[in-house]
Amino acid sequence: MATVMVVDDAMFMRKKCAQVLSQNGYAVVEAASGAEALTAYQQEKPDCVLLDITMPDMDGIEALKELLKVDPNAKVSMCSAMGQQGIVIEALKLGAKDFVVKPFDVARVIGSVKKLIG
Amino acid sequence: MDLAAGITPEDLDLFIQEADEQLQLLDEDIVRLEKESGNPDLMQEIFRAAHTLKGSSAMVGHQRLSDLAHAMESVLDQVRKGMLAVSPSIIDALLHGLDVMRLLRKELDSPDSKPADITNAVAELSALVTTNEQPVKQVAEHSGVLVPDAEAQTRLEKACQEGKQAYFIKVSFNKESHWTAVRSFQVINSLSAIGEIIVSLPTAQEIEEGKINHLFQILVASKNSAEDIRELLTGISEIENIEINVHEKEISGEAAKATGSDSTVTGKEDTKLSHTVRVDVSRLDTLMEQVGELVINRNQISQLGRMLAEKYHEDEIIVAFGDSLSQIAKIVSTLQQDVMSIRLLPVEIVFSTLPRMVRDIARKENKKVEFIIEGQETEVDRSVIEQLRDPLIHMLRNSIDHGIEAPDKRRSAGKPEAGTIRLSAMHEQDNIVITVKDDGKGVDPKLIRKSAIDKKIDMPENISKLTDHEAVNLIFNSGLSTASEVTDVSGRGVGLDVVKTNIESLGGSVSVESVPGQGTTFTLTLPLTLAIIPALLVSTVGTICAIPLSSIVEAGKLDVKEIQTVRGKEVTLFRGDVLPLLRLDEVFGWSDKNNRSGEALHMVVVKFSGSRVGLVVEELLEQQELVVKSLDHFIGESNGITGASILGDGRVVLILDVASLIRGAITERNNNKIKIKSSVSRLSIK
Repeated sequence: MATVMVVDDAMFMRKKCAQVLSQNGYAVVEAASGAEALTAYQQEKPDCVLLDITMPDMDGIEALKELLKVDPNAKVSMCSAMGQQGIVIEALKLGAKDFVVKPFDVARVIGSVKKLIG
Repeated sequence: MDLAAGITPEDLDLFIQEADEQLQLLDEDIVRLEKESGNPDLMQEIFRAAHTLKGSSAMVGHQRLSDLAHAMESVLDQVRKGMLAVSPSIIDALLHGLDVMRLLRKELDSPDSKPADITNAVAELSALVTTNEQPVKQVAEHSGVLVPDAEAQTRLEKACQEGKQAYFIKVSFNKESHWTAVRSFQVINSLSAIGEIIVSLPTAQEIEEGKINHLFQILVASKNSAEDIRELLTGISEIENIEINVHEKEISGEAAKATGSDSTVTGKEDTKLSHTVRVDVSRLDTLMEQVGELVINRNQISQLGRMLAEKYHEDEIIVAFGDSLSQIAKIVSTLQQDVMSIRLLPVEIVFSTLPRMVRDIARKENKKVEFIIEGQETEVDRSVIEQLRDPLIHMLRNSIDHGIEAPDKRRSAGKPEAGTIRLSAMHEQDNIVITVKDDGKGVDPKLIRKSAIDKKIDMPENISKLTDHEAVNLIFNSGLSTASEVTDVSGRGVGLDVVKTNIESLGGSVSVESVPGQGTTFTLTLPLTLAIIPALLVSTVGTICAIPLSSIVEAGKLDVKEIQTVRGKEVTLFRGDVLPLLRLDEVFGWSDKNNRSGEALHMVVVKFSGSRVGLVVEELLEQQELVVKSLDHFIGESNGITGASILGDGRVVLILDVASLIRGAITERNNNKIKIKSSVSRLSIK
């Protein structure tokens, strides 16, 4: 079973996303901050990461940079809200593989994960 | 209100929980922002809260909440970027938006409620945004066909000389794809990794400007095969169709290598990353009750164990039984303590709601108030937390309304224009002590005395005898207001008496100290928990009652001969004062006075709200910690009993409501006030 890590400080978003993923047969690792994501990534070696952009302390861009330092092949999809196009482009330049726009629908999240994991 | 598909009641609960947290956070932070407009962390926190609300409410399908959060976020974004300066009108608009958000949030509780209108709040917020957000430009479809210009041709030829193959690629995106511009950027990004982009329609520049719709054409030179490219592009979301044509000469379509095998996770379980768990409070209450039952049962079993030990002495099994019993007893005690500590919550939960209120009142009263909170991490049982809010609100209102002077008055008194109100909490033994301290004009004992005499609170001679401290504490008396004019927040003479009554009925106390011209301090003391209380067990005509220790002054023997009758009411002399007596058996109708046996009685002197009454009982039993069980379902309104508890031997005891007993006694006494006074003199002569 492929493992997906969901990184979001917003609890409801994270839970809902995790729920959708596990209903679709993925193992889910949750992280509520960039720092947690880094630790968890190294422990759990998830197959891909859904990474929220707006987070306290370490935002999605910073977290992405750090994740890629840890694993240059990390498959990261950015979760972004409307109005964050610029940041998403920056993330893609940095090496994010994909992005999902909130509010997500189930198909889109699963679609992105499938694309990442292949 | 219709929720989005796939949102279960559990999802909604989770959403509501988080939304409430975010709303509360906004409430606190927006008020703080007014004073700390230069604090970037605070600004980020507010922005994130609005952002989170926007996202999650859209997810549950609460579109209006999401839209309002979006409007708020836009303002916050500009403030964050320094394009807007924090001003009272911005704070007002944000707070107004927040109020509407709360209404929207409430709609989730009562689905039949009238949907709140967000138009005004959104308009108020949008008016603040200097330049409206530019919606992503969706230009007309580039219907043209990509034709390489001369410059592109040169680059193409050069690439081919390097052994690269030119491909003409057409990518069309899903109609519902959100940001085709960013998707196109993804395409460019991916292709750049394996080759050279010769030219694209629209161009990279145009894409960054958002000038793209759903079709994207690229001419790329690469050493990879068409299949490789297809595979690469398949990895991008929201692409509907990919068309790849070799631009000049054919190359053999090599089968793409199999995708790298799934990096298998080595049988690891989901490690818990979060160290906290959210639990519904009702579950905690149930747990608490069950532990209470367990404690009672433990006491019963311990008692049985002692009885068995007495009967069989050294019997091996009984000894072993006793050992494991004491083990269980120990575990149960620890369990009880642990459960108690789980129920502890920081007073912050209540305190954090207050700055907003203080700001609103101060603004309405045209006063300037610096509100400082200390010790918000102090923990108390949640049963107490719930009881704190109203008294605190009353005391703060009182401080702003009656304590803090208007700015000009403060200036002429040589004080800073802004008054300071300091709210602090701390532990003191088994109590939590909360103080509300202001640097306002203070309470003048002379005015209080005068007002108390005018309003016939007590006999003038009694009032003039009071010390300044006692006189000031008369402000807790109902019907006494010192505000020269009535305002809509306080000044109707109700409020502080309610505070006193509520706090005392919880087994706490409240007092006030004041230095005229310098300020007033309210001190509120409450037990840490209301779920377990220490009490004195007494018995009368075979019924056991418990009297909370917090209300007991003292207890001792009472000889029948010491009982005097004044106007048919029994009284006794207690430390030189006349003390009304209440016979418990009579109060509850357990026996009538003509049928009374025994000369030796006991009296428990109890106090409430400055009044004392002697409760007459037959026997004093023992002091014990009791797990309070509510009787609400059985007896409804309190009539001298607040609850019940079960003793180790299974007997039920009634816990007396001292407040209502004394209130009952006082009403009777007041009717006979003059008579009692005359009898006082007679008694003292005797």
